[in-house]
Amino acid sequence: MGNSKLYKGSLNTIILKLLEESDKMYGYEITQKVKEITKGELNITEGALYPALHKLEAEGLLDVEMQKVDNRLRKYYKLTEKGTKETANRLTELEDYIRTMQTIINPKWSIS
Amino acid sequence: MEYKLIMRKLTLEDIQFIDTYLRNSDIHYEDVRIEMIDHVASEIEYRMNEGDTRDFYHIFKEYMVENKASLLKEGSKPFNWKIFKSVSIKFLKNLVTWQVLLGSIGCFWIFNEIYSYFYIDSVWGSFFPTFLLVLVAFIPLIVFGKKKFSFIGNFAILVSIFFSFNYYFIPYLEKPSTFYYIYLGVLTLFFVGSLKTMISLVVFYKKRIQMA
Repeated sequence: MGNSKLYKGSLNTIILKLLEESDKMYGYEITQKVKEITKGELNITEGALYPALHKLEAEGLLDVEMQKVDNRLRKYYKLTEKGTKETANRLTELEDYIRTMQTIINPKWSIS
Repeated sequence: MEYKLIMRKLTLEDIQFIDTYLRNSDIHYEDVRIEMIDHVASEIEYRMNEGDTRDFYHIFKEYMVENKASLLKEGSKPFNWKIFKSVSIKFLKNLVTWQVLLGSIGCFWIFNEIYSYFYIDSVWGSFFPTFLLVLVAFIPLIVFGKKKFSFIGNFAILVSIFFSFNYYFIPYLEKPSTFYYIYLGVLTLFFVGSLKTMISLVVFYKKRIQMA
């Protein structure tokens, strides 16, 4: 992942946000979507993505659906009810964090 | 976002090749490998459809040189702290369900009846629920054969910890005492709790496989 240390703490929130916007997604699709949105700036590696997905699944925030696609099995992830609520909380937390960082780094840009 | 424009697809042989490669690279858990196969295959198909005219093996080799370390970083570990924590919490929650509490009382009574009928001493008596605990770890083997799954594998580690505990208490179990009955009660509770947790994990993976 580019700028890994800065992005690492936000990976779970990024995943939850993407899943909030679509019905269901699979791992590779998430990496491509992030690459597309950030125009290649953020590249999520497999080593970071799958443990994060498994953690969210273990926490009961994600549900899983298996489908046979093109000679192989595909694992789709979607938000559970608990996951939908948690996404809203984490996005609010992240927005607060960004706002605080902006205040510190560049007070002129800060949003009141 | 489905990549509907993708025209070139990997064959069943290509997928089996990736599967064998990952299995030989110590990615033993079926659920983890299924996901990795799809990831690798999707990327190779993407490259093929982006204009890479080389055959599957060349693209696969190139992809592995670039990404093998990242792929194997988590996937090859038999123990995963996050999964272990999750199954441990599930187990603890199961301990206080009515099925487990009632089952434990029933088993505790049965164990004591068997011990008094066959004159089994306290040390051997404590081994009985421990032996049953080991049998719990064999349930997935009966259902799935050699296939391993991450949550079951990590739960089996927890079960083996309970099993190893038994040895530390042997010196205190020479004669039936209050401690012995408490110890037997706790072991029985752990056995019934483990049984419920293992069955729920097996059902969980069974449904997931059937889903596909």
